Amino acid sequence: MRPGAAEGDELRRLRARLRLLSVVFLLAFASVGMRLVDLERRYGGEERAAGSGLEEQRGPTGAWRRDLRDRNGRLVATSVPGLALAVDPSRLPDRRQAARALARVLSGVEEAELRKRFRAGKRFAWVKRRLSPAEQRAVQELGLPGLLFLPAARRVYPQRSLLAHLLGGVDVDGRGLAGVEFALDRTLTDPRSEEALRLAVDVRVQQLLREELLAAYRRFRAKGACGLVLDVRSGELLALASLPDFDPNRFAEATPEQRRNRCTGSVYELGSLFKVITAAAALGSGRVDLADRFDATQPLRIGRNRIDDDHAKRRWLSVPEILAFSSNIGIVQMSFAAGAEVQRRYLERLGLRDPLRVELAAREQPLWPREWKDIVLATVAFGHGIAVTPLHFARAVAALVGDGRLRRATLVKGGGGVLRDLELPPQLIRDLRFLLWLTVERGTGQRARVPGYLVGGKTGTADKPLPGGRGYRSGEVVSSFVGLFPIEDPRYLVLVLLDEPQGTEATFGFRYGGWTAAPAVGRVIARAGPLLGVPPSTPRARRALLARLQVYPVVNGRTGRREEGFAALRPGG
Amino acid sequence: MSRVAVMLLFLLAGVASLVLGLKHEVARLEEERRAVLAAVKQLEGEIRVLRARYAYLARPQRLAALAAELGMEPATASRMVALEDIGTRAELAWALRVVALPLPSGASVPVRARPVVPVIGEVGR
Repeated sequence: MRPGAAEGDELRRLRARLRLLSVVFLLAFASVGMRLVDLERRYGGEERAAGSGLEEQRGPTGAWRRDLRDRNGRLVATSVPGLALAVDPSRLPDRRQAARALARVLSGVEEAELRKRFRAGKRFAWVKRRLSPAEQRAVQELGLPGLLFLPAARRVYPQRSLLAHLLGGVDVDGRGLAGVEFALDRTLTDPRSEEALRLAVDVRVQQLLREELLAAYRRFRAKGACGLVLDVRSGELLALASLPDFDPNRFAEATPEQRRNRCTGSVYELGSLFKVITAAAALGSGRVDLADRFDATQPLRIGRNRIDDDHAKRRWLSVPEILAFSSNIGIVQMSFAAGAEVQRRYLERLGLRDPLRVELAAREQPLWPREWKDIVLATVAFGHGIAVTPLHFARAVAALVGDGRLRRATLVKGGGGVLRDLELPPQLIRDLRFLLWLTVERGTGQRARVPGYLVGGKTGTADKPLPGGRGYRSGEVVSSFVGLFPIEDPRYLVLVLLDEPQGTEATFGFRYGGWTAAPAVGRVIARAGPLLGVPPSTPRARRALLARLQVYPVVNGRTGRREEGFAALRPGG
Repeated sequence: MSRVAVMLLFLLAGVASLVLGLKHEVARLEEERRAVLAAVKQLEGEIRVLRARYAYLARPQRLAALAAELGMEPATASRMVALEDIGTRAELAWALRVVALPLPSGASVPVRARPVVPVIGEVGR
């Protein structure tokens, strides 16, 4: 082999290897290049959009909560998606100018406050937690760097103030602050369940209750009002309203007075409403009979205290008359006949000493007498010296006049349950129904009568106590009425309470529960009854009650002549 | 030997570009999926807003006002009758039948039977 030929071969091999190496390098660089293009395509856009990626550190704002629906499936609370605006102040070229520009386009945002939040060295600052679409556009047009638009769930209450105290409200972070939103916060934020929670409330009944309550509240210029509709058979609350109220969509703007739930968060001395319980205790003790009569000719004297009647008849009164005319003198004697122990036992068994268990944030404890002296027993008989929430009382009466079982009051559909069986004799329940019907038919509750339904009820007018139990305020009362329908087999209880109502010309200046609260209850029953499918009372049921009236006549007069009583029985009498 | 190596290299390059192409396709599909999911989420949000709006428009206060404008009024208890209180066809036919009732004078007057139904107005007031 020639030396020249061998060198030529070597050179060719080297060139071939160099070409191969170039191809390898080319491929390697091409793959690196393509990988770069790939990475840019995949993550480059997001990096730009995310700014510094701070939202991953903070997470979405405003917890996602379950929807709330009424018993018929109507939406009462929901969470809708929204946006919150935050900023990374370290990326702002001029913090002062940015604060001014943002405050200009965003409502409710102060420039000074923003400047404070945009302090040097900070990497995150909230600008606004709830951004409207128009505000979002305006902010984007500012073209500021370092802005972060974060997803934020927003709680919306489409029924506005209709269910204010019942639903309550949430804060900007979506935490329940009041009402069901607070009491069931954990259930509503449980990520394992997305299904809407069914409440016991019926928005139609709630609407008409609130409407009638508002009308009475305005007409009698009351300081506050409470109204509720309770299903006697299940303990479910079909409606609950307290006035003044607020818009849950603007919970933060509500005043403490507006936030106060007078049905569950305030205790009242309910006055003559308590006579229902005293009568039940007296009749249930077996020491008082429906046919018994008590001397109401003179005011009672207990120590230095004097007990008199508002609607004084100044004669002997039968037990039905004591209830129908709301006689303090008579009911105190009934209570004494039964004894303090019986009275206390009934109050305790009816849950009037227990804390309220209901799905609301506002739950006030009853004020129970410290010692049971004669004067305490006497005043408790007509609802003074003991203070409970209206819901405590409604629950107790529903048990007495319903089926004798005390039920847990609930705001959740199917959430009720029997707390205890009072083991009342059926005759006692029938007697109580008769007494309540009589009060509406012939007594102080006549303004609650409703065409088509037999209604039972009791009026209450109580003086307001001074703080610290130092007597009572003069001229300030709490007027109330509790009504049940149809009284022959009660399905629903309606309670209306007016705090410090003022008399009007139409009521001749009277502020009694029979003049102020009873008409409102009557109207609620007249409107809610057909809506709830309650059939009208039958003539047979009315005849049965009238027949008992023959046995225990009620005389609406001072003389007590029996003719007057029978005259009252004649048709149209 | 070198020819085999070159061929293998080209094969490798071909496979690599195929894998890269596949990878890009997967990335594109993933992006599409993400976009669809985002659109679904946005639509779900919009549905929630619409539901809230519907609930707002169908609130009882507004419906009551609209019903009043249309001359509709809520039912009262006196308009409710139990099914068993409604007469049968035979009873209705009997009630509609006109019978001539002879009078002592010899003349006769047409009469109709009145069906027995509960008078609801009797209750309450």
